[in-house]
Formats: sequence, C-alpha cells, structure tokens
Amino acid sequence: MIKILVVDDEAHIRLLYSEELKDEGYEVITAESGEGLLELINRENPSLVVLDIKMTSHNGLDLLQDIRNQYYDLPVILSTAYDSFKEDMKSMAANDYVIKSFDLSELKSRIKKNLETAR
Amino acid sequence: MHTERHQREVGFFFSLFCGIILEIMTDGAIETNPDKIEQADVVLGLPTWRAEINLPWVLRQCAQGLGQYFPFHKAVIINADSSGQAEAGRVFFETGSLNAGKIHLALNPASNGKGRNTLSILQKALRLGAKAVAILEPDAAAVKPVWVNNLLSPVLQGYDMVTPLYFNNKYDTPLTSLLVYPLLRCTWGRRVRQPLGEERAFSRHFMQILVQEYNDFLSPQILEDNMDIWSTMVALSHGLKLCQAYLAEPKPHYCLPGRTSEQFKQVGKMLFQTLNSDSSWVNIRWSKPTAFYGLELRGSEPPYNSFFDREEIIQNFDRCRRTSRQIVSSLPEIRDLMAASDCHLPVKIDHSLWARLILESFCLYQKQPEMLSQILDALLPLFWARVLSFIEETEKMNSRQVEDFFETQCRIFEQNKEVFLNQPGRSNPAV
Repeated sequence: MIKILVVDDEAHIRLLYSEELKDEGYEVITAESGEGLLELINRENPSLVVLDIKMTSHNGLDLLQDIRNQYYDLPVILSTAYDSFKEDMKSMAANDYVIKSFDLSELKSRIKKNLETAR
Repeated sequence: MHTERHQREVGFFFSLFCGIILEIMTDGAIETNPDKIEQADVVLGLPTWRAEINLPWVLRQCAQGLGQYFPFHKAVIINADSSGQAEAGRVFFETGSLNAGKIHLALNPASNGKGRNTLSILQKALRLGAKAVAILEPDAAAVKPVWVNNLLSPVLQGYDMVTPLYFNNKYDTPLTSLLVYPLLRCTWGRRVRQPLGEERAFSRHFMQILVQEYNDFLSPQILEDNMDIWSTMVALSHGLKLCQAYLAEPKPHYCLPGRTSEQFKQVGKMLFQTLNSDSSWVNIRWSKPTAFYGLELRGSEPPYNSFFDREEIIQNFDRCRRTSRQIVSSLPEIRDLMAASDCHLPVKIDHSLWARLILESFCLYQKQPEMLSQILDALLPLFWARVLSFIEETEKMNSRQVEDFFETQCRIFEQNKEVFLNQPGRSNPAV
C-alpha cells in the first residue's frame, strides 16, 4: 500500500487528511512538527510527503530543503493557507503545492499526479 | 602550420616569463605549470578566449573564496585561454592568488567559442584527480567569493552537477525563460531554471561522462558556443543528481535583440539536435524539482531596473518576419498552426500557442532534419512576437509574479507534450 506522510501542527488538519486519504486507499502516517522528521522518513519510507509551511515550531520551507538534500526524488507537496510562500525561493524545491481547504479534491489529484511522476 | 607557430611563440613567451619548461598536452594545449602541480581536490576553471578585462578581479574573488570556504582542500585555478595572446597568460600569473596553485592552458585560437576551453579544463582536472570543478565566467564583474562555495559545496556533498540560479530581473534572459527552460522541463522532466548559465560545477563522475560524450558528439563546432546548455542536457539525459546554486549577486543579462536572435538559432539547433539523439525523454511524465543550495541569501527584488527596448524588439520582429515569410509559407505545419489559432502577424502568442509552435516545430524537424535552419528562421519572428506578448502581459508584475507566469507556461508545455505525443497518427517524435 502506498504510504503518505502528513506533517502539520494542527490536529484537525492531520485528522481530516488522514481520514480522507485513507478512504482513497493510502496508508497515512502523521507528524505534528518537523522534530525528528528525517529519521521518521528514513524509518517509514513514505512514497510522498504533504508538508505544512507555517508550523509553530518549524518553518516548512527549511524542512523541505533538508528533505530534498537527503531524499532527492521524494515527492513533497506543500500545504498552505496562503500562496505568499512563493516569495521564498526555497519553495521551488517542492514538487507541488495546494492551498488548504476542506475540499480535498485538489490535494488528492496532486497526490495522484505526483505519485505517477515519481514512478 | 601558422597556428602551430603561433602557439610556440606564445609558449616561448611563457617559458621566458615563468622560467620553466612547457608541456604540450595530448589535446594540443600548451600547459604552463610553474609549481609542477600534480594533484588537486578542487579546481576552479576560467575559460577565456579574448582579453577579459575582469580576469584579475575574478581571479582574486576565486582565490578569496577558496581560502575562506575550502582552506583544507588542495585547490588549483586553471585558465584555459584561446585568445592567442600572451597577455592573457601574463595577467593570469601576475595576479596574486595565495590560496590556490595555478595552471595555464594555451589553446589554438581556432574559434570564438569556449567549449574547447572548458573541455581542456575538465580533462586537466581529471588528470589532477579533482573531486569537483567549478567553471566561472572570467568576465563576470558580479562574482563573489561565496559563488565558489555555492558551486563547489553541493558537488562535494554528492551532487553531480550544479547549475546557477541568478538573482535576475523579470526581463533578463527571455531566451532561457521562454524557450530553453520550458522545453527542457517538459522533455527531461527536471526543473532547471537557468540551464544556460555559464557558472556551473561538475563531479568527477560527470566530468568523465562529459569528456567522453564531447568526443562522440557529431557536431563539435556546435559545442563551442553551447557547452553550458549541452552539459545540462547530458546531465538530464543521464538522470544525474542536480543542484541549483543561488549566486547571491545580480548578473544583468540585458536583452539585446541582435545577439538574442543569433543565440536563438544556435541554442535552438543544439536543443533540437540533442533531443533528437536520445528518445528516452518521451516516456517521462510531468516534472520534478531539483535540490537547491544557498537560498538563504535571497533578497526580495533584483536591485536594478530591467532594460527592454520595445521599439527595437518590434523592429527586430519585423525584420525577422520579412526574411522568413517565404520559409513560413513553405512550412505548412507552422502556417496551419497559426491559421488554426485565428492569428495574424504581428500576433499575440499565449502560453498554449507558444508551446504548440515549439513542439510542432520539433516534430517538423523530426520529419525533415535537413530543414533545421529554415525551421528556426521561421520560428524566430514568432519568438519575438512571444517576447512582445510576454512584456505586455507582465508589465505591471513584480519578479515573483513573473515567475508564476513562467510556471504556468511550463505546466502548459508539460500538458501539451502529453497531447502532442498522444495525437492520433502522430509518430513518436523522438524515434
């Protein structure tokens, strides 16, 4: 089963993403911060990461650089409330991005496309 | 015969100047190696082919960068010069560089390009056992010591090639932004934003591949002026690990229509021929990012104004259109595509039409490879029409918003590649 890692400091977002993505047939693991994120990725070997940009303890774009340096081809989709993140060139290391919404159809479509690309 | 004598004269000057015996290398370059350097960890290469006035400045920045960021690595700076002037070597050796040894390679001044110079640097670096080589534009006034770090460090961390990411203004490098970047991204599936930039770095593994493929390349003359884009394409076709290094200072590339027209044809030729020689990109779907290095140095807006002479571009468009009218009429694919889009010249060329024009032109080249020059001549006025459309659409945007414009363009290229490859009756374009 394809495993997806959701990193977000908001519990209700982790729960929403988990339930909806499980319904799509994915195995979902979650993390509430960037603490120990690389170790988690190393241990769980996810096929794709959905990464929140603004977390209280970590900047998602800095985490993205760390992920990209260690896992060159691991697809990362940025999840954000605003598209102002594009001002920071670090966002260019992401495969894709979605604006947070309770309708997850866009996220699901981006996940599907990026998993296809990663094959 | 004449050039051999000329090389000997230049070599004789160096031997007098340096008080050493010169070595003539197997590739014909005359090597001056006063410190008899036989080994290096890292190499900085400066390919020169004319009297680069900023060479002493660039050399000092390189030496400072090596001392500051790589104090425990054995570093060598290699200048491969094809100017045929003894002055270049004299300036190179006279400029102080405390932190690195120096080797000068004098090449036969046979052409204006720098491909051979870069190749000679890579060959010498391989013989020295170097793990990483960075090539720097020897006339770049903007070069800073941090460039040395940002180019070499990713290679020492395991990347095979580092391409530059300049702090560009929105109207810099339209050829890169409107043609090379979207076409390479939609074919090879990697997002390399500045595939044409001269500053770049190579791993030992990639140097070996480049030296081999350079010798095998069918039209070595093309490589003289296009070594940078060609090396990017080789890295992409081999699926090597790429990193884009942010070079923290602006490097203005003003759009000069006459020069850009010439570059368009040269680069177009390189792109089409190289894409045609390896069909494996056909199976790649969508694109993926690369890694980045040094982005923490990023500012918000490039600190200089863009320069775009709209009138000159319009004149250039008209000139190109006049000269290629007959060619367009003889290329029904391009003519029909324009007609199907209900457009008349001068035309507004949006993302979708531009993507189709480029992909259709490539397909046409597939069917009639002998027509490559004519196809590119026909495309040239359309390129200028695209530039004008781009300027009009992005006039009030900041650089970040213009990057979104390019992102949308790239996604449409990627979508069109899918459509293009799946058209009924369309033969596989790269087979």
